[in-house]
Amino acid sequence: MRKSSPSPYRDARRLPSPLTDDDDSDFSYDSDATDSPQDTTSASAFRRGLVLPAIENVEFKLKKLSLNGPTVLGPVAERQESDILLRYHGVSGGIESVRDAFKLQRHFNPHARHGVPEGEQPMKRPVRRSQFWRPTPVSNNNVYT
Amino acid sequence: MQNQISPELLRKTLSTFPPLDLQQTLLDLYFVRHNTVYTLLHRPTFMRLWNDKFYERDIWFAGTCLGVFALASKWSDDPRVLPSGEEKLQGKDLDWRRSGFHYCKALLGAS
Repeated sequence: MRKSSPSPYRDARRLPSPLTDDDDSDFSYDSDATDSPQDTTSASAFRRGLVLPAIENVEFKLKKLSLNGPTVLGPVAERQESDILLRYHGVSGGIESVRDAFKLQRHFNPHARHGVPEGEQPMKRPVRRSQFWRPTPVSNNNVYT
Repeated sequence: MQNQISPELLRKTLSTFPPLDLQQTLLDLYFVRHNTVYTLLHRPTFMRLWNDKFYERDIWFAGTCLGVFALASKWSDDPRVLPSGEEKLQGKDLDWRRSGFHYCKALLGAS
């Protein structure tokens, strides 16, 4: 039979004893504490400073500034910018950085289709694996009969 | 770029920067509080340029810093993030809704 011995950590794991009337001083609600503007909690931060549209505006400006100046964009933002260029401007391949991509973007006419200047051929896109896939032609002959 | 070679514009932009101790606080607040969900800026790269005082030579990076200050002011409880003059109002409630507005205004005006 297994002999039960008192664990040395029993006291440490023991739940605190129920509070008595004398113990509630530690949990007393400070009625004088108000949600002052000096609070740095997230709840009060939403009520101060720039609102969301202004934040988005500043972040967009940060993106443009960091593309024109030193590239300080994080990897996620950099990849998103590259994806946007790939998707909307048909630029693919040879882009090592977003800065190069935006140079290409400025070079291209944004109003032309695929961002290619008039009189020039669009850049050749890489063939994706999915482009090799073709749907099975539907015929009246049922091969399973 | 024309802005890059305009020392007047760079000087004007740098004049809107907060004091040095507040700059460091705002940078920490930005990267801890704001730049976590969507990591727009790469902190090691940014801090390396910051420590080199690249903002004193490049107007684009100075503008980036202003944007960071504008966004981080939301999380700061330092009265100096308020537009100048408002922090001197003693005995009145400070309008914390305007914190960082002057950085934002300078940023939009500089770029």
